[in-house]
Amino acid sequence: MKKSIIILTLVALAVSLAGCGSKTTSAELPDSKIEVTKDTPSWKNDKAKADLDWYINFDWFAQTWGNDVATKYITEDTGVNITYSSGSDDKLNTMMASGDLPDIITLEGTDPFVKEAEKFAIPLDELAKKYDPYFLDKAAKPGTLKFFTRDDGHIYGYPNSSNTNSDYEKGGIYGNEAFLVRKDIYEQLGKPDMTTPEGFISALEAAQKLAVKDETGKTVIPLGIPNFQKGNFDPNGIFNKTLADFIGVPVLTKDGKYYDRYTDADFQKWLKVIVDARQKGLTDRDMITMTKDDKNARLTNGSYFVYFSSDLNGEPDPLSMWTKEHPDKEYIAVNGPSSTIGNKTALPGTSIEGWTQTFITKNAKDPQKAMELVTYLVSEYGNNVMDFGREGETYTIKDGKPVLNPDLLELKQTDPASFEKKVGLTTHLWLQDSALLSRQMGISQFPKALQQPKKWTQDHVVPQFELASLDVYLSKESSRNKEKIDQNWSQTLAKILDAKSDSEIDQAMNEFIQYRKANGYDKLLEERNNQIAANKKKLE
Amino acid sequence: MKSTFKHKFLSQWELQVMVWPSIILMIVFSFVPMLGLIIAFQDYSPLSGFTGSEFVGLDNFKAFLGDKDFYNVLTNTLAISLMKLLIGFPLEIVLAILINQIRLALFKKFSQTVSYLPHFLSWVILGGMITSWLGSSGLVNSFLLSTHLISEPLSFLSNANAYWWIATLSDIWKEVGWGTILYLAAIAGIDPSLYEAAKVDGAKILKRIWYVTLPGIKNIIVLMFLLRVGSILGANLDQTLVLQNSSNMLRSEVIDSYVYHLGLAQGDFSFATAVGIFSSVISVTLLLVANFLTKKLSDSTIF
Repeated sequence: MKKSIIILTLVALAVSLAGCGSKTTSAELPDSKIEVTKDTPSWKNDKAKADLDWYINFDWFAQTWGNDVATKYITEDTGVNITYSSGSDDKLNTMMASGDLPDIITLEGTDPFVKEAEKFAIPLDELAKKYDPYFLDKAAKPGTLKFFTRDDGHIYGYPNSSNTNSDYEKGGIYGNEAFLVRKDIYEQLGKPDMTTPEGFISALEAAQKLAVKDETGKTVIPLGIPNFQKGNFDPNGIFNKTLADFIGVPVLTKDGKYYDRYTDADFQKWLKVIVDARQKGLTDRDMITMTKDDKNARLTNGSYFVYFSSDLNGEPDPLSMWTKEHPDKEYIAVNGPSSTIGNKTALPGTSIEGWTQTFITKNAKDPQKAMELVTYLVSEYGNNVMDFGREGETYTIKDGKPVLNPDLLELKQTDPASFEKKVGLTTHLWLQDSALLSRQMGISQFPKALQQPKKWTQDHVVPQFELASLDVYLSKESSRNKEKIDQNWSQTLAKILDAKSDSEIDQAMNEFIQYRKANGYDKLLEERNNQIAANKKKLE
Repeated sequence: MKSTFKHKFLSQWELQVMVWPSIILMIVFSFVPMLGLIIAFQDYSPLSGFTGSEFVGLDNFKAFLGDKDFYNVLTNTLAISLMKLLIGFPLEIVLAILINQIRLALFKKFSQTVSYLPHFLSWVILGGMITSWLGSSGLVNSFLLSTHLISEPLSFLSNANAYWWIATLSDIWKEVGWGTILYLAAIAGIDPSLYEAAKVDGAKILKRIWYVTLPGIKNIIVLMFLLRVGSILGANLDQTLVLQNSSNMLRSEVIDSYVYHLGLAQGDFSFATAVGIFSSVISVTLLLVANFLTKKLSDSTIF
């Protein structure tokens, strides 16, 4: 009897361990089916067809392949048909643990699995050498390739929206933060200067005195900021980065090390100005506790005089709705809080690390076709198909630049959601080059409500490549400590914002500094400085 | 010996056939996965699997036991769970008895349905409702302001000291009706002749509840109490995640959310498992103690 239990257990154990099966190693890649050359992308010569699975680790991504204009053209060109699947970390973890991977995987660049890419992905450089040298030679950006080459000499994932130094030199890169004011109130107040602490407070006070009503009949709140919740583009409203970027707090020390922006004197000064505004009843009362829905409702109703945005790309819907109903009361970007010691506003543009990374996995059924698709999507031609469709059908060339047909452009700017669904251009953005799109399409790529603010950011946008992937490669201990310190900072900010006096603020800051020190800040700092040094080397 | 075993087995083969599938399922789905607990002692990566990950001994346990914040988290968890237990648990019994006393069948059905209703809403929805009700221009503040009980809106959710109460009361509101179901079923099972006899003896309504109803549902009460003690360290992750904000984090971080923030969100499964094992051990201990105590106080226990 006992024996059979043991056998049963062993069988069950074997079943549970199975699945960690064998994986293709790069040495065993099948030979190329066609003659390859670095001057022509292989998809032009390889007429074979393939069905590939592509997993996107965002559960909100719900597009299907083949239902819109863009994917139809891509399949016609490359012969590759894609079955998308999407999900969140749970699904990804199960996939990785079982070893049952799709052909292509797209993860956020900060995902913990990115660190271990060599365990599940075939190096793109090896694939390219064998199947599609055009990728390394012409399609991919040299700066990006250099930055993503790991210490072992391989490139595992390729990013989307990676902006290199040469992209910044060519211009057309936009920031994502803006100090927005309601145009009607701003003009009624005589366009006050809000760049100095005094001007800032007095403009908010004057706006409060006007007692303008919003859409719901409530008095307009002088100052609003994004919600504090985690999972936001940037949590803690404007206090992690946006305020510091506006007042030009440096990100590096003079000798090129990590600079502690939170304790910067100018930052502390402005923090106190906002606390002062809060004590005077000039800010949103629920600043710290409100949800994203609350914030969106306030923007849709025009409930703020000033809205200090840390993520313009995330606001098109509420802003579009408000502007559509009240074109004369739209939100416009103006100069906001500025340095009291003469630093320039410096808004970070998308960095060289981009947003996501896309990998071809060791389980890929047809690594050659997968590589050809990647090359296609990364190349300028592929980007044009993704962003504009096909020449003569959805766009025409004017002055050497692709221009969308007027009806499509109108749809894109006024109803971005249905544009994506029907036309799909710029939807399949997992290998998109956003800088190229910016140079081709300029300001008209954005919904109308965002065009003025986006244009405003253009003069202030700067690269901050040294900080790329700053916290991705931290040790387990440091990443745990980073999370604890971030949480404590969040609590400290809540305390500071509700403080009754400057001494309470200073005390909260001191407690934060001590907490940080007691929770491995020195080691965290050291690891960050190592990353900065490594980044600099790759950027040379 | 062998022949008797075989003989016995064959004579009960119908019963054996019924029992074995469940035993096998239990081994496969409840005992085999326990091997995974080994990752608490490893530096685990899903890509290497638990056969390939490096052993680190008790490092993960040391990491949270050496973390000063952990004791604050433990206090919050225990406080919120105990408040839910001490207030919510008796309330369910009281509500069940009250509902049972309603004579009018239609009104009885109505009260039951209304009290169950919040149970079917998820915390994601309730969280949104509660944050907007408790906001500065929300339902609660508007009511308090209009009745002149306060002169300025109170910020409930940003007051760390109020969080334990908000968590407890909102949980009771959501679950109290649902919790009455078992008690109502048990009350329905009490022999009506006992009530008749008590009535004849001159017992008024409170006496009848005390001497007939409560003893009649004693076994269910003990069972429910023990089950709740066993899960005291699980203080409802969903609720915490939707009601938590930077102002109340000091009082709202519970073991589950701590594990989520520092373990799962960072992809650090070893750490998360270590904390999980720790709280399971504590839970089992609490369950045994409670079981022992109820055995002493009354003779009904679960084992």
